[in-house]
Parts: sequence; structure tokens; C-alpha cells
Amino acid sequence: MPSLVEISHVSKVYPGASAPALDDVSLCVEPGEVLGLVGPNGAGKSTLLGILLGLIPRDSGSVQIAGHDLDRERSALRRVCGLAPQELGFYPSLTVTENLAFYAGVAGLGGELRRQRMQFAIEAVHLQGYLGLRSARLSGGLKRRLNLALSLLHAPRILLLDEPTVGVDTQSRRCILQVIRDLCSQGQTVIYTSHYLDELEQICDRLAVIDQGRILREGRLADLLGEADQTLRIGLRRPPRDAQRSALVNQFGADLVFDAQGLQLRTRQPLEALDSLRAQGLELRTIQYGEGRLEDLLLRLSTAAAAP
Amino acid sequence: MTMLFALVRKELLILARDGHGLAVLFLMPAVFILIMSLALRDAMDPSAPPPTDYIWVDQDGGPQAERLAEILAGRKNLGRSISSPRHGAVPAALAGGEAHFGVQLLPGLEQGISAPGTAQRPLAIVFVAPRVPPAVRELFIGEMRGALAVIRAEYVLADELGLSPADARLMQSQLHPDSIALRETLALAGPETAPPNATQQSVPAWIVFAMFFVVLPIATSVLTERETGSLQRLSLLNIGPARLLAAKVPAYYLVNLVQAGLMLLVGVVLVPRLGGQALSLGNSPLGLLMVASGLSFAAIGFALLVAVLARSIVQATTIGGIANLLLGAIGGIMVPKMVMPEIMQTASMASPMSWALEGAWDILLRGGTTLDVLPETLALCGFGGLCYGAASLLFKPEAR
Repeated sequence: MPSLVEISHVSKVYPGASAPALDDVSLCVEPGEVLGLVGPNGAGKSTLLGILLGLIPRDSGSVQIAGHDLDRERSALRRVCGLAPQELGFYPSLTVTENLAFYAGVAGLGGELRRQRMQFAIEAVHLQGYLGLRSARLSGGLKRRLNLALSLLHAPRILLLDEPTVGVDTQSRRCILQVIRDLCSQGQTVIYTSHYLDELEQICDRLAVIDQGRILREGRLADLLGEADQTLRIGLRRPPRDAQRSALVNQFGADLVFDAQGLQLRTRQPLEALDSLRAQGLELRTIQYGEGRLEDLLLRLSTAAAAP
Repeated sequence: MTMLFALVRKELLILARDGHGLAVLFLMPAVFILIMSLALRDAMDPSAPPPTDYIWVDQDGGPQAERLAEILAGRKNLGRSISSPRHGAVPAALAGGEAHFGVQLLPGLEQGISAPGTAQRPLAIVFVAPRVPPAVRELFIGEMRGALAVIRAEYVLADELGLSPADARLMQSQLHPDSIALRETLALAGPETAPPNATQQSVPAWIVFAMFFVVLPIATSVLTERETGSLQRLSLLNIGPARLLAAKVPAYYLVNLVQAGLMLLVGVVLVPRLGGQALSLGNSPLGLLMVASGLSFAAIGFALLVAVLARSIVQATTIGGIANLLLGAIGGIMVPKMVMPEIMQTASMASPMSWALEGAWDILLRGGTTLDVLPETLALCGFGGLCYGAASLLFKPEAR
């Protein structure tokens, strides 16, 4: 089966910028898959989403979504995409129902179809009890749910969620994640960006780690977490001297990262690695191996990418 | 059609929900019209004396001086006379706003009247307050010269022709320009309704000015939609820029019509109850509606262009406000075109406010009909259409 989204060698440099916002990025998203885009601020996530939707022009590369080429069939391509933007793209003085009816109307939905799609969106995000309330009076979490509902109205084949839980409390966040999980279980394809790594761990099938405009690592979540599990975290009694640092970098290369507490080392032979560290005269305070989290992997990849 | 209907309905709903905004849109122009009509009440009223109060300092004290004071007191163009014993106090009194003019009658008036050609010094000194307009100053000087000419004529009739003082006055009164009858009539396109008054003159100008301020809510609406991401979401639903902008026209056209209606209502009903002159709406309600519609389309088109060009709400409201002031200044809203130099009168033709004002005056002042206002209406609609077209071309709804 062909990929639903195919991004090939896409690059983008903003006018006046010294570094590219995107640098030869290639990605695929399969039907029914949830792809998480993760990376620090300014990594290029929003630029990539903007290019996917034709909102930001790219310098090179190609984009195809559901068989539609971005350059030739932009209107058709937009019809198959639904965006829940970071900003709340609705009208605060209108009620929940009025906002839904408005966006359904401008999406060209009328009559029974409009009623059905509105009903689906309302039920999908559990907004039944708030339909007559002006959107300005909704809580932060409910606003985020309305934002999500609006992106579902025209039954998009692919849903782009740009930080959909930003600024909401834990309960609302849990609710929104459940809504997204429910949508995914119905086969909805999703591209999801977030700073909250635990969210990505919960709902994504696959992750793409992006930083400085480049895809640093891409793979199934289980594989990436397994990679994080191979990290040896060492707390040191005192920081290593320059000579010790040089010797360790020479020995372990990019697998070694120094942090505030000591160092992290990606290795399949932790015992041999510990011997090497002790041989360099380092005084080890704490030792931890396995049970790695996505955060560790992201930190290591980003640090390595930033190194000269 | 579903799409456009949804867009228009949304604009109407948002406007209807903004009670404070609507109150400002409707009440402020109405209050403005009320204030301006009352403030300018006397400016166009022929029965109201111009600002010509004067301080009278009689240093002559003779019968000719008394006669001169009597003549001046009888002139309807002059205000009240305030007698003062000291001429030195006149400049300070004028600077303090007690009067507009001062007349210091010098000793030796009779001698000066009897031999005007040999007089080496003036008969009187006229002091003029600095803020008195040139036309009023000319009027006062003319009245003074006229009164002195009457005294001189009476002297000649009595002294050189030997008439008794009573006969001399009678003869003089028959020779006075006031004794010659003239009929003054208004040049109207249609049947005469009522003579134009201050309300009639000023209300159209301020209606035109106020309606152009629709730039503020329209620009705020467009830029708020941009900031909240609504425009981006709409553009992702393939709503083109022309349609997005067109959807704003019906709602703000209604706003403009209600604004104009309220302002006219204030002129017709409220101003006369507060002591001003009532506004007469002329003989062509349809013509008035045509001008108001053309004006509204021009104002909305201009507002859309400003909204598209501006990068922020602050920028839009500043640009829109200043542009309105400039269009108003050029278009004869603040300064009547008839008092402008020729080059400025020509320049005023470039302002759509000038076209709208001419159209409104066609109906309200000149008794015109729909045919008379057709050129102005078409020009206003054309201006609005051009602005809308330019705005549609420049509008990038998806841009942040």
C-alpha cells in the first residue's frame, strides 16, 4: 500500500536566516499511523507542518498526500488534511454550536451531512454539555477540545495536531489524549507534534526526532525506547579533567555525552564501559542502566547534533 | 452559496454579540452630529448676528458722536455695544474676550465731518480682537464707514442745502442703500423646501466622515482573525481571499446604513429639541439611500484595503484614522471647499469624501433627485470596488 504522506528531500531556508529551517527532510506516513514529530523549539516542526499544508513555500523537494501533489493539486490536498493549530482558530463570541456550524458551512457541508459531521465531532471530543456556551467562556481544556473538533468536521484523512495540549491542566490533557487515542483506534492517520514526550510515548506508533532542520532519528517507538534503554547513566563525584574527557571521547565517540551530573553512554557492554571509565580515574557516584526514557534519547541526539 | 452564507452569518453574529462595540459604532457618530450641529448653529443662520460686540469709547462727547452711536446701535449686523470711559482698557478687554472690537472716537468729530478732505488725523481708532475672522472685520469696518457716511450725508444736507435736521434725516434715509429692495432666493435643482441651515450644511459632512470610520472595526476584525489563526483555518478550507473579504461587506453595509439613519434622525428630531435648527431630508429618499450606499461601499472597500496592508491592529487603526483625517481635510469635511484656494478645490476632487458630500448636498441642500446623485454614487461604488479588488489581490489569509 502506498504511503499516505510522502515527503521527499524537502529543504527550506527563510530569507535572512543563516541556517536552513529544514535540510533535506524525507518522511513517510502510512495510513492509520500516528507519527510523532519531536524536537526542541525552532527545530523545524511547525515549518514542516506549514509546508505539508502549502502554507509555507519550500525551496526544494516534493510533497504528496493521498496521491495529491502539493504543487499541482493544493486545493484537493488541503481537503484531505485537518489542522488543529497551536492557536485556537475559532471565534470567542460564538457558541460552541455556532462555531461548529460556521466551519461546517464554510467547508461546504449542508443539510443532513452537516448535522452528522457536527454530531460526530461533538461526540468525538465530548463537548455535548457545552454546546450553548460562548467559546470565550470555555476552560482551556474545553477550548482545546473545540479546536480539535473543528479540525474533524470535514472528515480529513490525515489529522495534523500542532501541540494540541499546550497550556491545559493534567485532567484536560488526559481527556484530549484519550480523544486522540479513540480517533486513532478508528483508523485516523495523525501527525502529532508536542513538547510533552510522555504524550508521544503514549499515543505514537512512530517517531521522528527533528532538530536544526534535520531528521536525527526516525523509527518505531519501541525501537527508539529500546535504544534509550541501552544508555548507561553515570553520576560523578567531581567533573572529569580535560585529559580524561579527551580520552573518553576518543574511545566512545558520539555515543558519549557529558551532562550536569556526569555522563551518559550508549553501549551494549555496560560492564566493559564501567571498567574503561574507572581506568581513566573517574570516581563514580551513581550508576544506572536500562529503563531509558524518550527524554534521554532526545537529549542525547540533540546534544550530538549541536556538537561541532 | 452555503459557504458565503456561513461567512456572512458569522459576521452578523459576531457584530450582534458585541454590544459595546455596536454602541460605540452607533452612538458616537450620533452624539458627534448632535454636538457639531449645536456648536455650528449660528454659523449659517442669517438672523444670528456675527461676532461683532464692541467697546465704545467716546472721547468726542458731541452730538455727532451721539448720533454715530445711535446709528451703530441700530445696525442688525452688529452686536452689543459696551461703553467704556477709558480707551487704554480696550486692548486688554479684547484680549480677555469681553468684545470683538473696540471703537475709540477721537475728539473733533464734527470738524472732521464738516471738512473730511482736510482732516489730517483719523476720526476714530478701531481695535480688532486677534481671533476675529477677516470677513467679520471687513463687515465691521464697512458698518463703521457706512455710519460715518450717514453722519456726513446728514451734515451736507443740513448745512449745505439748508434742510432742517429732521428733513435731512428723512432725505438721508431715502438715499441709504438699505432703502433699495432686493430679493434673495436659493438656487435649487428641485422645489424649495426650507432654507439651508447649519444642521443642513454640517450634518452631511459629518455623516460622510463618521461612516468612513468603519475602517476601525473592519481592520480589527480582519487582524484579530489573523492573530487567532481563524484565517489560516479558513484558507485551509480553500476559502479564497476575495470571498473572505466580500463576506464582510453585507454586515458592515448594514452598520453604515444604521449609522447614517441614526445621524439623520438626530438632525431631524433631537437637534431642534435642543435649540438647533431641524434637518430637512430633501425630496428624494431613494437618492439619499443611493448616496449612503455608495458611501458605505467606498468606506468598506477602503477599510478592507487598510486591513490587508496593516501588520497589526495598532497599525491599522493609526493608518485608518490618519487616512480618514487626510481624506476629510482634502474633501471639504473640515474646511468648506468654497473657502479653499483653487488648487485645493481641484485637489478635493480626488477625495471620495468630497464626492459623497456633493451627493448628500445634492439631496439635502439643492433639492436634487436620484439622477442628480447617480454620478457620485457610481464614483463611490467604483472607488470601493477598486479598493476591494486591490485588497483581494494583496490579501494572504494563510500568512501569519
